[in-house]
Amino acid sequence: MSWPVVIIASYLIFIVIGIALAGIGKLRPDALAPFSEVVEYIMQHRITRIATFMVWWWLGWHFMVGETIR
Amino acid sequence: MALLRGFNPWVIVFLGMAFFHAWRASLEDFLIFGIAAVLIMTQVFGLTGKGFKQQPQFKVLPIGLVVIAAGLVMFFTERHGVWDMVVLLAFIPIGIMLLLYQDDRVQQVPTLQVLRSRWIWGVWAIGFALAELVAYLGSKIYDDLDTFPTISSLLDPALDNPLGRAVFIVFWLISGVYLFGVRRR
Repeated sequence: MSWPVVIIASYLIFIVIGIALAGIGKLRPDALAPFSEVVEYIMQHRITRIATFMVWWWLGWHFMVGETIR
Repeated sequence: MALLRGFNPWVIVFLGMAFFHAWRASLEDFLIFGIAAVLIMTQVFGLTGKGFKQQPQFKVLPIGLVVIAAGLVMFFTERHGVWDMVVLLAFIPIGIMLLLYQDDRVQQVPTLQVLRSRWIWGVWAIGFALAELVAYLGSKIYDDLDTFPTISSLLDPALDNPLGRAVFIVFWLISGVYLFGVRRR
């Protein structure tokens, strides 16, 4: 397998795992808390709110305003 | 002892990201993560008490109008342009208003399921970031983004399209509304 295939496959695998985790949280909350509960829990703390906001905002900036460094 | 409090995991992560972006010569990313690290340190060193009494909440209509307006701006303007910058910068004061409220005195005690889920999602996020890091390092070492595609390089063709930009900003904003609980309570 070539590098591009391996790298793109790894991104896709993480996306699929993320969807599966979200699904498990919805269907089996006794095993794994739903993502919304985790978000609600971690957002109680202002430090986590600031950290999450900065990462979220940076993603918007990075894709919309920033140029891809080649 | 006070200095040890500075070793909050978030401070380490953001300082690490700031230095990483300094190494890749991206001044704006260095500034964003550096400012974030400083902001977090102000909280770690005891400025957590200041802020709004509680988080402001918004109705669906104003949220929807902001999302549609941002989508329209992205659709009708050029990527990396001044208007993109204006839209993104406008969300900083909105974010400050939404997030700088005082923490509840009594914090929720996490269940075993929440702790487990937090760890799993944390490992997932680190794994995803490492996959991107491998691609980024490969693209720098071999100077070849086609062989080592980063997420940015893969999304570039879609985001260079007006509709792609509008869809991206709408999903980005919806994820923010969800994450920051603008409609939660």
